Amino acid sequence: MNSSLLIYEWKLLWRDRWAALTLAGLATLLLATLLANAWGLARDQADKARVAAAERARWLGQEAKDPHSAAHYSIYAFKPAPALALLDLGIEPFVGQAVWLEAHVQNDLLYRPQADATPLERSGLRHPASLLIAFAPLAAFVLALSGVARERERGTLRLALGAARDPRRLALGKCLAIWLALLLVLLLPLLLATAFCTGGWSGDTLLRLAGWAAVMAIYLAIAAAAAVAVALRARGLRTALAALFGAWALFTLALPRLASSAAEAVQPLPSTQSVKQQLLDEAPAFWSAETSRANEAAILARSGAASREALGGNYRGLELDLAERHSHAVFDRVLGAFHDRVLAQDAAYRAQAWLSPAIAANQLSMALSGTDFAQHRQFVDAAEQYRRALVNRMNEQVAAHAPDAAGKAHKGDAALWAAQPAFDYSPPRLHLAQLSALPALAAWLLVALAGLLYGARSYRT
Amino acid sequence: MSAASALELHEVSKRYGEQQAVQSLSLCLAPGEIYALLGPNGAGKSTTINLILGFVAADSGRIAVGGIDVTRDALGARARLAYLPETVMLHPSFDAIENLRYFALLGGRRIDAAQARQLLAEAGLQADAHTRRAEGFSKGMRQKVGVAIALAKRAELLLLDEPTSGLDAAAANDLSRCLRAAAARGIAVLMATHDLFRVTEVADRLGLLRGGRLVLQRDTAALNPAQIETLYLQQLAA
Repeated sequence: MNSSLLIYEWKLLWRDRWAALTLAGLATLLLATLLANAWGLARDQADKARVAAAERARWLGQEAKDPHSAAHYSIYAFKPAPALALLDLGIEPFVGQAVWLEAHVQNDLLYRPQADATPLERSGLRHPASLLIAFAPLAAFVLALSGVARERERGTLRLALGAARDPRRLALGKCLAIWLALLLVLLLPLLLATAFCTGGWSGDTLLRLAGWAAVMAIYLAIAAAAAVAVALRARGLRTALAALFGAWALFTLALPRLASSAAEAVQPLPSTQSVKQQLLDEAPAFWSAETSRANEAAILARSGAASREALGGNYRGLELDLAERHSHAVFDRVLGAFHDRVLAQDAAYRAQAWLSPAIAANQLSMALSGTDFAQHRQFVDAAEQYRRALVNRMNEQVAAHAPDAAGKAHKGDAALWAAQPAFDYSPPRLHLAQLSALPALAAWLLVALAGLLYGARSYRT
Repeated sequence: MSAASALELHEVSKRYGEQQAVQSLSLCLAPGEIYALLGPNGAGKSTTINLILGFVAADSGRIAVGGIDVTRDALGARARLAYLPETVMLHPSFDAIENLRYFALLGGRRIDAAQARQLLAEAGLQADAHTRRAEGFSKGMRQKVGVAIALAKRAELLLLDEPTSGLDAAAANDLSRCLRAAAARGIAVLMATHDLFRVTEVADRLGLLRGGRLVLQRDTAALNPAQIETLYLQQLAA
């Protein structure tokens, strides 16, 4: 591809007022959305850090009390914002940001951002990735209409094709000019603004940002190549407009929704209420007298002791520990299975990335931004492991100390509270398995380029 | 097919549905020869040009440009020819030099501004129009830029579709001068036209198409416009 030709195609593009206005309008919307996201996330992150510090201080400063009561008193864990949530919020608006860690119960996360969303945000277009995936193809189509279909109407395309040594050079030049315009006007400002708004860069965050940029660059290349290919094949401006708009509606609106419905049909989820009810039924916080007797028999059999007194320490602590471990097994089985099914539904949706590049780009964007369910689950699991460690530690204290002569139970003190480390969650690092939609996106790029070259060979003058 | 011919058509036919646009057309142009293709509207002149350009595929027959078969290697054949449509439409946001350099690049030639000015001058475009945006150009001015684009490609064959249609006498005369200069450099010219006066002025031979068939071929040396018109009308009436 001749760089001089590319420069001329670039000039042609930018001297078209409508094309420039389209790009400028979308770029402004993307940047405004990103900055609004960055502001909201920074505010939320500061709130979380402040409340987490207050929570920790409250935990450390609590009065001496029964350790199991302290496990009920417990603490909140806060989910840090994923690495690139300002680019792609993913499922973040729909999942809570804090979880109350208490004995006996694996609580749902609280404070879902969606609850505070504005009407525009509730429409689903609240972050740059969704806007880019939905509307950048439209911008590419406007540019292709201007660069190819309108040139055909004007008559310059016929002259160009007659002059061209190889019409593929013309098609590639137009495609590259459109792609570069999309990269420089839409993508680059987003990346620069993200770099400016994101603090504490790690190697993983840099890798994620580079991957996100590459995915979006591929997606924009697909849009540019498809737009030029369709515009070359269409007989006129109206036909091109109808074909491009139809393709946009099909690939960015209809197919992702159909794929979502198909994923729900193939991997249906039980209702949240039924899962909660199962947890209540199978992991009770309190035992009946009959169950307590059976538990006592089990504890004595396990330790080989003849009676509660022979066990030493505080029998209540052992019973609490038994109950807790029973509930852990239930949570792992019921909630674990539920989460596995959510992941399976996500995988079923992701597998349909072969149907539409928008699905592939959406799934990759969420994975790279750290805002998909798989990465959210890692926080849920980490918070749950912390809760179990805290509760187990408290129950061990109860079990280790027999009541005093007056029958008063042992009380935990500041040393015990301080022995429990603060909750410190590090989001998972990026790994290749998260990018399973990449082959589909690459295949779409090849299809679009093949379409472009075919369109260039069989153009309509 | 002869490699020495600039253009050769052998028994070429093309049908659009029920309409036979071109039928068993055979034609041969030597380097430096100017050939005028005459015929009423719908006779198949533009289809013939589209067939040579490879914009449409022939149903049968063979077309070669500089010995290169258009069916087998349309791009290779097109690299050897330059095309001037009836109405040259330039990019309105480019000036004449930008238009020329852009279309020359498409043709695989990189020319600088000085070369562009020289080519535009050869095509008869006044110097003060070289850096003006093409949006205000008359048809004649656009035609001159089109000629410069064709010259820039250094093609062996020049295809012109109604090149003098809508041009004033001075502009048409400029175009004739350019075509003669091109032919003197060995470039073969095939022009589809209704302009019988220009045929006698620039063409070496003429061919008359009727219903897609070549019904007459003559050298123009001994013909004046009135004689050509008589031949033309006789053939149409036959």
